[in-house]
Amino acid sequence: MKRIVTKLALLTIVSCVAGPLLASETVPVKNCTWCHGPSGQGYSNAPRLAGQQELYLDAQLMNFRTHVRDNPYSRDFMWNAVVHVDEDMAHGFASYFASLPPEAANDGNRDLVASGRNIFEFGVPEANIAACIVCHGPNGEGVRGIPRLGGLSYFYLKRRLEEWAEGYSPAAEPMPKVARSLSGRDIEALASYLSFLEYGAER
Amino acid sequence: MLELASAEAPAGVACGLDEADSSERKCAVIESVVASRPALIAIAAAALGALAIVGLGILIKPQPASALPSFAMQTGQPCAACHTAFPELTPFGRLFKLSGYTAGGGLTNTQAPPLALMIQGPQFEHFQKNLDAPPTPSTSTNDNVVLSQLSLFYGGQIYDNLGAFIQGTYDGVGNSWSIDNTDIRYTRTMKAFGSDLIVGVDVNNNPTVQDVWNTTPAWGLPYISAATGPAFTPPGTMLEGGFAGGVAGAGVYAWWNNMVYAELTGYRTLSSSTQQALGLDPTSFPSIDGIAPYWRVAFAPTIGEHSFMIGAFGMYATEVPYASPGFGVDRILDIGFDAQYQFIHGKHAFEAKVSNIYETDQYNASYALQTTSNPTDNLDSFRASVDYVYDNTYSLTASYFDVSGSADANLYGPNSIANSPNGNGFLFDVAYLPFSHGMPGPFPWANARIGVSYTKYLTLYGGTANFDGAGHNASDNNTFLAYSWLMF
Repeated sequence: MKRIVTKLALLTIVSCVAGPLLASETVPVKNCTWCHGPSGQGYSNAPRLAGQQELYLDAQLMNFRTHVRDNPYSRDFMWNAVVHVDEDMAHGFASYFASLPPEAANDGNRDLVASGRNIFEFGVPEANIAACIVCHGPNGEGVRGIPRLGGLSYFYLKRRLEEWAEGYSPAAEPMPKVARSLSGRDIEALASYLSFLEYGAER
Repeated sequence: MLELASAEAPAGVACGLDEADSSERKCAVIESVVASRPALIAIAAAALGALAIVGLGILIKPQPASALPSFAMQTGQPCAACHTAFPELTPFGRLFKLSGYTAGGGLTNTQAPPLALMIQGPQFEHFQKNLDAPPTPSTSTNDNVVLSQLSLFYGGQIYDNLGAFIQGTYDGVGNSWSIDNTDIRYTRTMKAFGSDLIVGVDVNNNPTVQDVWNTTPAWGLPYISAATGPAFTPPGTMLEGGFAGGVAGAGVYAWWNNMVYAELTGYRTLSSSTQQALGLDPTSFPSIDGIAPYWRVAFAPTIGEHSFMIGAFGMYATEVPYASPGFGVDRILDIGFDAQYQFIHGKHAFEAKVSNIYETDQYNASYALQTTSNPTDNLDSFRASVDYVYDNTYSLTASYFDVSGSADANLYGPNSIANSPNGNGFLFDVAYLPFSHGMPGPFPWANARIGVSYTKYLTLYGGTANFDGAGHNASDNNTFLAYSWLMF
């Protein structure tokens, strides 16, 4: 027993010494990358953070804290995740993930890309929906507090639009109104198009 | 004696191998508090009396650990983030484990040491036909209410990228603590071929305890088993608990692009003195000659709310039968294939799993010792299951298991007039997990699983009726279990 305890103690000591030598985190991004993926490209229903607009990320972290963003996944995961995130840490997270190069999810329906691009660039005049490009930029890159959409996963984009249409996060105007005016087919087309949209790529 | 994974093997393997060596491999560690209660009273006791048992740790029949409240404290997330219904993992639960139990977001380990307590019991156990004799002096031949086990855990980050899941179990019979499931990891992340790569070094004491899918034996069905029986269960392969706890393994693994998993681990048997020092019974483990390699590969894409996995795993061991040097070694090869589909949408979680372990046994030593009647045997263990969980709170599980293999008179003859290991059956489980989203009160991290399960044996040891020549039928072993499982 004594030898085992000694070996375990040695293992622990060596590991604990090795840990700090290899540690590089200035903000605890591991708390985020656990679900959002090691380089923040998203995983499962956790969206990509890499390359997202810094101000948008910062604002969303505060929206989770204040429960302004109240869709089910936010409520189930992010409300808990940000309990100990103060403003400085939120800035650190936002800055870190905004600096990472995004990768397009490329997981939408290619047959709907043309239709989605049309909605993104020209809106849906008959439904009085303005072109998405006006706020989110020609490549869906976003600006300041307006999020980058280009390359986000089909699943995430589709779900967010559906949740706005269902009444979640009503403060995020004008998106709830926009989403309510889109058909299910429109939402699928938009999400498909955006999932293939590379940052800075020729369209 | 501590049989670490006996309850983690498929239902039929829950109590060990054939009758010949079952006195210790089977349900030997059994004591009960109350015996022969009427069923309804017992079920009520199982559901309502759980909190009263802390000081009554009598029976120890180790079960798999589960949703650790210390993980919830560390991450700030409720159990539901990582478990559909513990111990079933979600994609994030798998990532948390692959990342070395080190992700935070909640309390730091200086604010809240990552310790947890598990109590399994009381549980009511009914067999279709009474056992031939009481398993222990203080239990009855049927309808026992028993306390299962008391475990303490260190579960969470140790420092930086080093994390651990270490279970210590109290054996009321032996009045001693012993080490149980242990999994210690150090991980790093990097890029490979343009995609994320998590690499880890892992030290553990039970082949497949390190696995992140619930298709492999250590974390597969049944999650909880009867402790006082039944008298007969199908035999199990080497990976289904044959080495659990009695070995030390060290290995490396890689998880690439959130999709591809590969692992190679080598296991050595702990010395008898070490096993004894850790509270284990050396006679219950074959001794590995040298190092036994274990491998695991899996292709596991996750697309939105859909998670898929198809994989293979295996282990090759040269074994020296206990206390029998000089007769050569047995060579045991287990090759497993598994697949899983998981769909989690809002409050609904659906899962389908299948696994098959094919074992080839070259009994050089055992044949010489006449423990087996054949120089070579094979054994195949199959399980398929589906489960549905609503709101991480209500869980329904149905499973089919089938064990088949070579007829071997010396190995199976005591249980089988056909000398056959063949057996199959169904397992059904219904559970209520009231605190998956947090328990009201000052300790929101606690969780509980209260449920009933029913195991139906269609055949055992090659027959349905009088399979052993002593009048036992497969259906005699059908088991109804009402259980409570508490985590603090």
